[in-house]
Amino acid sequence: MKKADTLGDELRRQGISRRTFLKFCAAMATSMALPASMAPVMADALAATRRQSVIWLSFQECTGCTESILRSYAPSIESLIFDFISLDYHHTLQAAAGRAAEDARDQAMQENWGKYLVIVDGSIPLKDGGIYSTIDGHTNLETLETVAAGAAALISVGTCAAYGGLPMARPNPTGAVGVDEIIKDKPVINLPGCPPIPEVMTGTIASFLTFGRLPEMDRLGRPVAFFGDTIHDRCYRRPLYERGKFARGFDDEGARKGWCLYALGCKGPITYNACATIKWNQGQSFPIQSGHGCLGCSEPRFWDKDSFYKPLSATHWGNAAGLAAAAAAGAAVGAGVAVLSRRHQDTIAKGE
Amino acid sequence: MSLDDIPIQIAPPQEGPSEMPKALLHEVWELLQAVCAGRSVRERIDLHGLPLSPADYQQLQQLLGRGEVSALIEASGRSEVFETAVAGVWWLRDFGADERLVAEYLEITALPLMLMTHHDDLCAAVALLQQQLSAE
Ligand code: SF4
Repeated sequence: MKKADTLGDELRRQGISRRTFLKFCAAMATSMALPASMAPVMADALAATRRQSVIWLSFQECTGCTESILRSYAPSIESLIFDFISLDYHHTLQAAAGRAAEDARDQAMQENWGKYLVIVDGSIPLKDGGIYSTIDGHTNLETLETVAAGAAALISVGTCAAYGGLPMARPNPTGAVGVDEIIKDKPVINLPGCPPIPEVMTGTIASFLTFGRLPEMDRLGRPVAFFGDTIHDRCYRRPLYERGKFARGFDDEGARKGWCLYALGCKGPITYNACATIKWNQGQSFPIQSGHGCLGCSEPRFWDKDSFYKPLSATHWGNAAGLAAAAAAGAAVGAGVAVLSRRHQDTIAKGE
Repeated sequence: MSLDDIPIQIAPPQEGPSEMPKALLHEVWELLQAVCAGRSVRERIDLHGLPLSPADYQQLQQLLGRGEVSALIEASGRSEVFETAVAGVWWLRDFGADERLVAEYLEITALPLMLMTHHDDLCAAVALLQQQLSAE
């Protein structure tokens, strides 16, 4: 295959028409709250790009993030992202092993210096010279710094890569940190979650491919399109919260009637993520819909913030002002959803 | 702080459609006007991302009705298209190969993009057909 081929040419040979690009982009625009009229523009831009080289680095992690992006959605429209990228290195997935695998990474770096995308899952241990996790005789820190030097941008996938995650939980025996604690001279975006939602990963990659840059981020480096609202903002149990209908046990009458899980420790009011809208397993459900409160897995240090089963008011998570604001915002939630979606759309349409 | 300190507001129960379908109809009218006046060729309104209740959805369907054309498309999963009773307003639903609804939108135009053959695909077909002819 000629290197100069566009993605459109390459995929057409595999029988993938431009209608498929249009569908993919319509789905992406919907999940990122982009104006629907952007979808055809995105499809043209995507078809005109070259296949993006991606180097995936796995450090102190459990492979749950890879499982999430790979397993949950095949054969979905989102899984087309694997046709749009060239995954040149991923030590769990690639056929090559040992030296051949490392050589493949070096070659991809050389050929695409300054242009490749680096995806990281897992935290990086810094204690004792970083000896607690090494690959091919190199510490994770050395590998990250070497590979990041030629990257166009980095995507930290999962709470471990974004904020240190479980390896960083007290007493943090390996001195684990997230990627943006180390890499300061390249654009880094955080897609936290334990694991992150597949569409959040595919949407962010697709956005980079079509617009040539990472999407707008919040103060914790997360894409606003997916992390702009709390779980509580979009939770279908919210009207029950407003009416003070709280389940007090996992098998009481309230739980059976589907009442709010706040008193059982739900961290939805202070957790920013898209589980309540995009959901999991082909849009099937999400923890609260399955009867368990939100654990707050996309927030920094979620593991160390006291019991998952204590109400926020009794843990280190909440403060009175934050919780009162969450409650007060409830009155406007119906109208707010539409307004918010419009706000995202306007910002993106203006290219801000 | 205890649970009792949280200010609780009773949300009024909502029955029937909200104002959303009528608001959408206004938006459709404005966009249709723009296409009619030649200020735009194509406009889209995303329905999937809007907080439409089942009652809102049903009312929107009733307001727009069904027109003369409908089509099924197979492109990495099924897509359904139909023209509403309002000429030039098309309703599209995209499903993935897993049969999950991934996008739903109104397209205000003479012919939706999903029904048109893209020029690049058309040109690729020229080469493909030529190959077939020369192989015979
Ligand atoms: S506290 Fe949890 S269960 Fe209750 S409305 Fe908020 S997010 Fe939903």
